[in-house]
Amino acid sequence: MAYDCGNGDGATRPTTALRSHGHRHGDPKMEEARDPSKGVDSISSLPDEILHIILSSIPTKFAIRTSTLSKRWRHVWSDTPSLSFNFARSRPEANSINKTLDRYTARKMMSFRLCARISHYISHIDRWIKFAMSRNAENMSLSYGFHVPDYFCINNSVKQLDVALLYFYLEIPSRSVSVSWASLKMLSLRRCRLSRVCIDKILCGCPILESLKIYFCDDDLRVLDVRKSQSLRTLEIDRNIRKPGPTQIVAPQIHCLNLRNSQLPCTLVDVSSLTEASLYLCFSSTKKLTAEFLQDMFLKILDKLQNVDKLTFGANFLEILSLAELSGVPFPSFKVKDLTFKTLVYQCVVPGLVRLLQNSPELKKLTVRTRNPGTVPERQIIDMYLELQGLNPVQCWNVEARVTEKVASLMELMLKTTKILEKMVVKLEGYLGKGHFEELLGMVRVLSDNNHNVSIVLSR
Amino acid sequence: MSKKNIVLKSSNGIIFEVEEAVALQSETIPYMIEDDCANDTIPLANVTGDILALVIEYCKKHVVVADGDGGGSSSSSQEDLKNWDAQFMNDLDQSKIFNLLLAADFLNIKTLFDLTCQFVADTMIKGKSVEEVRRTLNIEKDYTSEEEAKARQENEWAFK
Repeated sequence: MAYDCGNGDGATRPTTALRSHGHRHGDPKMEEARDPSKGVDSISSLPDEILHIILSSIPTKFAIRTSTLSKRWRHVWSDTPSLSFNFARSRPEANSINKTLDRYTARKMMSFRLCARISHYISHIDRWIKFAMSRNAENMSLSYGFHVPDYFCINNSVKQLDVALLYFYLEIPSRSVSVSWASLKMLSLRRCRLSRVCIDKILCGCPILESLKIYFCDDDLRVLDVRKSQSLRTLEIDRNIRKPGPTQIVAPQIHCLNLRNSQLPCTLVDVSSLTEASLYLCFSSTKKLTAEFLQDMFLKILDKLQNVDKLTFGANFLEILSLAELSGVPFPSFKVKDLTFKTLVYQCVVPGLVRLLQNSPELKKLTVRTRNPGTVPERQIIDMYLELQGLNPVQCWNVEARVTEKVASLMELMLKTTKILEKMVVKLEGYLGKGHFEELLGMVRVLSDNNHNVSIVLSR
Repeated sequence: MSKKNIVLKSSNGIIFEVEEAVALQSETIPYMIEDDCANDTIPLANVTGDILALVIEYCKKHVVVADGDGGGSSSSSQEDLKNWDAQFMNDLDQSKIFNLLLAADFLNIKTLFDLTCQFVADTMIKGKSVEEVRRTLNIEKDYTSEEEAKARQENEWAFK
């Protein structure tokens, strides 16, 4: 690794002894008044290795600009172990990029990021990817439409790969070619079209893969079966109604699941080793929305989460659970010890939330993260759904639920509902006026006095 | 349970006594303990007192969260730490930032080193023109106009 400090060659590197050039220049008005070090160039005396790390974390064009700062900086950028090009908006001449790469001297590349439309650089992109591979890039992020080229199928350097394709097929060239990404630990596929053959081939070629993320992928992929990936522990799936992604998940070895679901069917066939799960639901319209179907689907999902230690639920998911609760559907019970709700505080989430708490007798830590506390979403999709069914939403939500527009009431309710809770954390994200916050703090103090066993944290 | 403390001494002779877990976020300090000064004060000849105080503040914050939440790296505390880090860096002037960076390098505290490098890159270089970077970092231009133009021509696209 490029970053190797401490015991090695300390003698040859200036460490704390900053060489102060002490020169002043430029218009003094332009200099930062509060900075007592003004006039001192601290950065130019840093060793190259540190400058490389600094330049690694920003888009390469800003690293390149430093070559014109002073003679000290003339060639510093060219040995930076990371390159990051974004040609999505500006579209420099391909040949000028080639010239830049010709001047790049780092033998080992930590990271290579490229975002460009293939149509603009059709005859160059291969060259750039090969360039990164020739420097054994460990992290690669490729966003553009492309097929996985033959030469890319065998890559034993890459440890982290992020591919975004704008809905082109992610194709593994021909059936005879197999994939070998022997060092790959983290793979993320965004906006790709995936076939089952393709994903199977990839998984077969990644023997030590630990984390797989599939974001908004168009499928021919109905079943995602990752059983052969023995090292896989984390699975993250984002889907929406247009990009359904996998609908059946067979992953008995994973420990952590992060699922952003749509209203389309999704079945957790086997996730029996799960210890941590986050569930969100995004629906954009009431069309094709069938509450019974959703309730059924989510209760089946919940069934698979009974033994999980750590759970996180989003607002829409809670709404559906509320509907299920109001219609008297039985819930499973949970062994969860650490539970988080990411939701606005409004009546529609309360019945589901309370039921989850009632069915979680081992809960020790409860966290509510709420944005813009106190506001209630104007039109609930669920309300609209109920109206579509000829029902009056106000009548559908019980009275107890309505008083909870205030966070304090919800907290009180949650305290009442839990038995052995040790810690409750409420995070108010977004704006809450000082007066309101202090008022709430006062209420929380009362709650705290009445609940000695629970440590209560209110923060914003 | 009594916790073992470690005594650190800055280059200007200021003494800091910290819990072992706080100090051990530095990968350099264990070597120093092994080397010779097991029960003694560890002298840090490269770090001044004001910077060492910052390093310790950072390490204390990061150690407390690590075991306060039952050892779990819950995403919420990670987020809190991020906010804390941002505030911590924002409160420092440039000279402190560079000295902190060097101290993190010397003491081999990877997360603090990465944090300071990232902060320098994001706030002093990224998104700025060459002239702005020079001004921000007090870099003296020692190029002739021709030399500067030549350096620029090599990668003209990056300046647009």
